[in-house]
Amino acid sequence: MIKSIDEITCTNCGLCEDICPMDVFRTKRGKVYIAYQNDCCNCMQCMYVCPVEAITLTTGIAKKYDMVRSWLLIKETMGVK
Amino acid sequence: MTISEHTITTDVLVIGAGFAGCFAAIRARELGAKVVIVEQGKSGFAGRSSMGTNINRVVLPEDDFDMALKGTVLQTDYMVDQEYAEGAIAETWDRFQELLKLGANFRRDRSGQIIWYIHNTHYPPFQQRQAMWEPFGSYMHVLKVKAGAVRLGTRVLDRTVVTDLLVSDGKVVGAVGINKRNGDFYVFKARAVVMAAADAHPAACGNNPSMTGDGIAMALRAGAELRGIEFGRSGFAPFRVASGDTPISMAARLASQMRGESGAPEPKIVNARGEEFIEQYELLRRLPERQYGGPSWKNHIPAIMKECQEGRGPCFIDFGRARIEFGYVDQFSSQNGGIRINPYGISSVPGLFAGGIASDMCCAVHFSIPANIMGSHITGRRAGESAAKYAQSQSRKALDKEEISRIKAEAYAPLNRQKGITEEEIRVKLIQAWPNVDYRNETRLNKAFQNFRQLEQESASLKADDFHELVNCLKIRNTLQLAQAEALAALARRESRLEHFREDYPLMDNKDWLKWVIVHGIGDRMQTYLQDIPIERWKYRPEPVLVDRLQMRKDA
Repeated sequence: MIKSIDEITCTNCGLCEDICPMDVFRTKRGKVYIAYQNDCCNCMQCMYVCPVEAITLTTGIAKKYDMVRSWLLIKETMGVK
Repeated sequence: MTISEHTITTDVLVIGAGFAGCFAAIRARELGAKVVIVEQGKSGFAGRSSMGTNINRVVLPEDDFDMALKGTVLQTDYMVDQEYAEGAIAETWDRFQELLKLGANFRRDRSGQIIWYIHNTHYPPFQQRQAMWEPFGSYMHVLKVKAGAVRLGTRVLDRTVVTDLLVSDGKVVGAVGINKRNGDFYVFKARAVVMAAADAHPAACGNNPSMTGDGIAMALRAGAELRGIEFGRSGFAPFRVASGDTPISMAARLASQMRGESGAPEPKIVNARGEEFIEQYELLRRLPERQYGGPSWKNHIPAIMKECQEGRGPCFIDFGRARIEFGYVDQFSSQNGGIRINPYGISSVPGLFAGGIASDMCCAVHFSIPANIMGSHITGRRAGESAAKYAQSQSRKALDKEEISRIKAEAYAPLNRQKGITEEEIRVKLIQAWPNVDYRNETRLNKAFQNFRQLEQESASLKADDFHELVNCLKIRNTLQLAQAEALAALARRESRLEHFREDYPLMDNKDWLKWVIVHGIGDRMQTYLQDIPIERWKYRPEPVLVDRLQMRKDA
């Protein structure tokens, strides 16, 4: 489940808000925050799409697998640098 | 607060942008219909498809189709519509080719050939072939299929939750929905509607709370019949209640990946003494031990329960380094079964078509050959085709404005309540209301049904602080209706078959129970009736005997 957004590294680009299928994120006064934490569906899409790796999830198992590669491709498709 | 209202007019409205929805849209566009897809999350990233598995079960042209059919029939304990299964088996190769054309990629060997992984089925002579996505996961591939639909001119509307179907003169003529972010109200005028929203199985997708069975419940409200929903099961594992996390399905999936790549030991089901007991039960041992990467507990639940009853519990899935205890579920789930359709995707209500896991064709044959992702392609495409053809024959009707404003007022009502129950509270109560879901008897099921009825009455006073919560309130209402339907169907089936296990009727009765349980109506008018399976017309028929699946092995 989504745990936190690192306020220092976060650039408030809004990609996580755009991609989240569950609408967990919201922007208020230009700042992205976790609005509905309990709705997180563990898809980890926010974590992979984040250009500055500011998002922390409570599970650390995903990065080991080739879902990472899948996400790199998605980043490419979406034109994320 | 003023709420903007938008009206969208189209020929075919597709609800859900997963594989089934996108394939329905592609087919309907090919036939010249104007298509709009509505998706509750972000299309291509949301729902069951993108959180789905890595498995594409395909029957190759050189494979034995008869054997595949027999495997499917055995796997579904003769419940599958064999007419559909036969057609679907013949079609998987074409759908697979279509996927390749849309840019999907599969795991290949060094010479560039697709690697066909072998999956053991319930019918050992038949070995199912499956291709794995490359890279792992469905995300990329849903996006590609969606892109294919968009290229053909499909309009996609994201972040909009369809809350109800519009019915006029017994025909489905559109739908209404709410935008999750700004709360706008959408009215969809359509000649035909394809329901491709998923079932209620949050556990399958890493605890995805968006999967509340909306499509099935909406269809039920619109007058459609449901079939096979008594075979629904709740995942039998420690999932989250309202918060917290133990995404076991993901753990199982990752364990399987790990196993494939690093040769880690296979997970197994053991009792408190560490014994692998599944082998000792006569019928269970013939089932494949693992599916979907994790050990398949769905067929083993009665055995696990029996072990616990006889004092050898609790049982665990043993991953080698870690083990996870089997416990009661804490999220309502209704997999298998769904909107009753014929092999062409046509439901029992004119104007409503269904594909993917919302339909019973895909779910009734759950875990079998034409199910899974390939089943979504097939049923989705057929539903799209039928819908486009139906749409051509229909003239556009004016919508009943009074009815729409009534639905709108009802939908937005939770926002105006100061006091009331929250969606989260209902969700927790719903879990508690479903006692021993996988080990059923008359008393428990009756009690569960009464609990669900009561909860539905309580849900009339749901309150929401914003549009996001409002949508969740409307979605939990769907789950409550689906739960009632499932309890009622489970009461009607007085035998044990597939995931449906009755303590009071523990035998599988192939003599008198080759029947489907059909549910229709809502609220007090919800009813079930039995329909004989036309098994004598079909190729494979069981011996008319009673089968005890929990018989102990003689040599054990």
